Amino acid sequence: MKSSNLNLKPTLSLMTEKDFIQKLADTLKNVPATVAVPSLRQYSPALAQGRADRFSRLMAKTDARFVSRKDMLVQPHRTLYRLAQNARMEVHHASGDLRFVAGLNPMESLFAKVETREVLTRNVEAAASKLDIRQWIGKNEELPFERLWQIKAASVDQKGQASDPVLCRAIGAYRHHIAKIPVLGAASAVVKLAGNGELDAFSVSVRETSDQLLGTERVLRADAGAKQLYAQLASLMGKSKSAPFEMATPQWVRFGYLAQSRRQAQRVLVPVFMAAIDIKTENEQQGYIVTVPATSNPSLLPSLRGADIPADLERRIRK
Amino acid sequence: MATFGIEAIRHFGHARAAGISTAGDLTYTFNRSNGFRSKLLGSGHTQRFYYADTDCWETDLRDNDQGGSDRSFADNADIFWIETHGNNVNGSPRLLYDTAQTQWRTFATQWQLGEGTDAEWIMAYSCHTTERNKVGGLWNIFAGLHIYCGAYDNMYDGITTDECGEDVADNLTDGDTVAESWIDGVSDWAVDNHPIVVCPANAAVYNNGNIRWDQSYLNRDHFWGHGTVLPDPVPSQTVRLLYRWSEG
Repeated sequence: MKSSNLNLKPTLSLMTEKDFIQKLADTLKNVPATVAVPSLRQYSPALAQGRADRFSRLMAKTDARFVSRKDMLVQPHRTLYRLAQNARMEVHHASGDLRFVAGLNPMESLFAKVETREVLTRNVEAAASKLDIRQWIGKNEELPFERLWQIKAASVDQKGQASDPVLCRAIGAYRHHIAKIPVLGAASAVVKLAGNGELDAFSVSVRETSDQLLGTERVLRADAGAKQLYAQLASLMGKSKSAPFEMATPQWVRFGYLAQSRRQAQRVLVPVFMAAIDIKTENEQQGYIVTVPATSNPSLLPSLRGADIPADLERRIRK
Repeated sequence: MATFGIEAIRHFGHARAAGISTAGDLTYTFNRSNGFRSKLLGSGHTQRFYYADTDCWETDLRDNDQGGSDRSFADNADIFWIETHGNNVNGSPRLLYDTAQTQWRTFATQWQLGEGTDAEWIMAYSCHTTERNKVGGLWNIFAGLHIYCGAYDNMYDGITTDECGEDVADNLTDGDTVAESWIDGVSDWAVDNHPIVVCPANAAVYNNGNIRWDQSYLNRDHFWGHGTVLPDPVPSQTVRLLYRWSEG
C-alpha cells in the first residue's frame, strides 16, 4: 500500500462530484466479477497459545531467549510471555496474531549511517527469509514484500537549525494475498531490524484460512464501489461550506479482503473496497480510511460502526 | 502508578454549523480512547478525567497564566491523551474543539506543560500537529514535560487504526519506552500515519553535537510503574529538542 498521491484531483473548479467518483472508479483496476469468500480458523485462548508454542519453537532455532523459561500471563485479549533479557512474545486470542519484541531501547543499536532504501530492503528481506515468514500462510496464498519503513531521529536548536538524521530502525512490511487478492488491513507481517542487523521485532498478522469456502459472491462493479466510498466520505464530512470532492485527495483505492484488527474475532474474509483519502483545508488537515462492502450480500457486511463513549462517563458541567 | 486524562472528539457538527471549520466527523475516535482507557485502568492506573465531544474544552490545555485551566486538566495527569482534528502553525500545534468554551481551537503557543509535578507526556492523535522541519515550534510547551507525541502529517481514522489506543497502552504497560510505545502503537505499517515524538535535551545529552541518544528521554523514559522514569527536565537548561519519527 505504498502511498502515492494519485493525482485524482485536476483543477478544482472543473471537478464535479461525478468526476471525482469516476476517477475513484477508474483507479479500481482488475476488480473481479466474482470472488471466493474464505472462512477463517477460529481460536480459543488455548488454540492461540498453541500457535504461540509453534512460533516459539521456530524462533528457538536461532534465539536462545525462546529456549529459556517463559513467564506466561493470560490476559483478556491476549497471552503475554516474558522472555529472558527483557524480550517478550504475545499472541492475541481472537486473531492468532503473534508478536516478538526484543526489548531493545529505541535509541540503542542505531545504524552507523543512513543506508539507501535498496540496502535496507535487502536486509529486511534477508531477515524475513531467515525467519521463514511464509510458513504462516496457506496453499494458494502469498506474502510478498509491500513496503519499507524507517525510523529516524534528529535534533533541532531554538533557531530551527536541525542536525543530520540518524537511522534507528528499518522495517519491512508484508502483505498477505489469497488467490492474488490482497488482504487489506494492518501489515500482514512485519520485520523490524536494528542497526547491527539484530532483530528488534517480528510480527505475524495473517488471518489463517480454514479449508472451507463460504461460497462465491458477485462483486459490485468498480463504479458502484466508488459511489459507496464517496457516499461514506460525504456522510462523515457532513454539511459545511465546501463539498467533499472539493477538499479530498485520494491516496489510494483498493479492492481486497478485509482483515479486522487483532483483538477482533472474524469468521470470514469479507471483500471490500477501501480508500485512503486526505482532506486538506486551510484550517484542519484530515486523513480517512474509508471502507465499504464489495458485495451486496447483507450477511457479509463487516461492522463499520465506531464505538460510543463508555456509559459511565459523567457529563461535564459548564460554569 | 500513573494518572491519566483523556479528551476525545468524534463529532464536529457544531464547529461546522458555526462556520469555524469544514472538518468532518470521525468514526473510530472512541475505539481508540476507550481502548487506551481500559488498558490503563486494567493495569491499575488512575483516571483523572475522560471527556468526550463538547465536554472537551480548549482551556484544558491552555496554561493558567494564559487564561486557561491546564493545571486542573492536561497538566494534572501524568499522561494526557487527546484526539481531535489538528494542524500546526510553524510547527506549533493547533487543535479543533466542537465547542467554544472561550475559543474553538487551542494553540500550543499558549501551552506550558509540566510546570507542576504532573504532565510528563502528551499524546495527540491528530493530524499534522507539527512539521518535521519545524519541530522547534514546540519549544515553549516543555515546562517540565518529558515528551510530546504527535504527528508531522496525517494520522488516519479508519478500520485499520481502530485499536491504536489499546496498542499504545499495551506497549506502555509491557515496559516499552513512551517514545517507542507511541510510534509503534499508532503504526499499522500499512497506512501512512506519521508519528513523531519530541523531547528536550540539556547540554550533557546534546554533548556538543555528539548526542548521547542513550541518555535521552526518547531512550530511557518509561511509563510510571513499568520502567525507569527520568527526572523532569529543567526548561532553562534545554539546549535542543530531540525528535524521532517513522517514515514510509
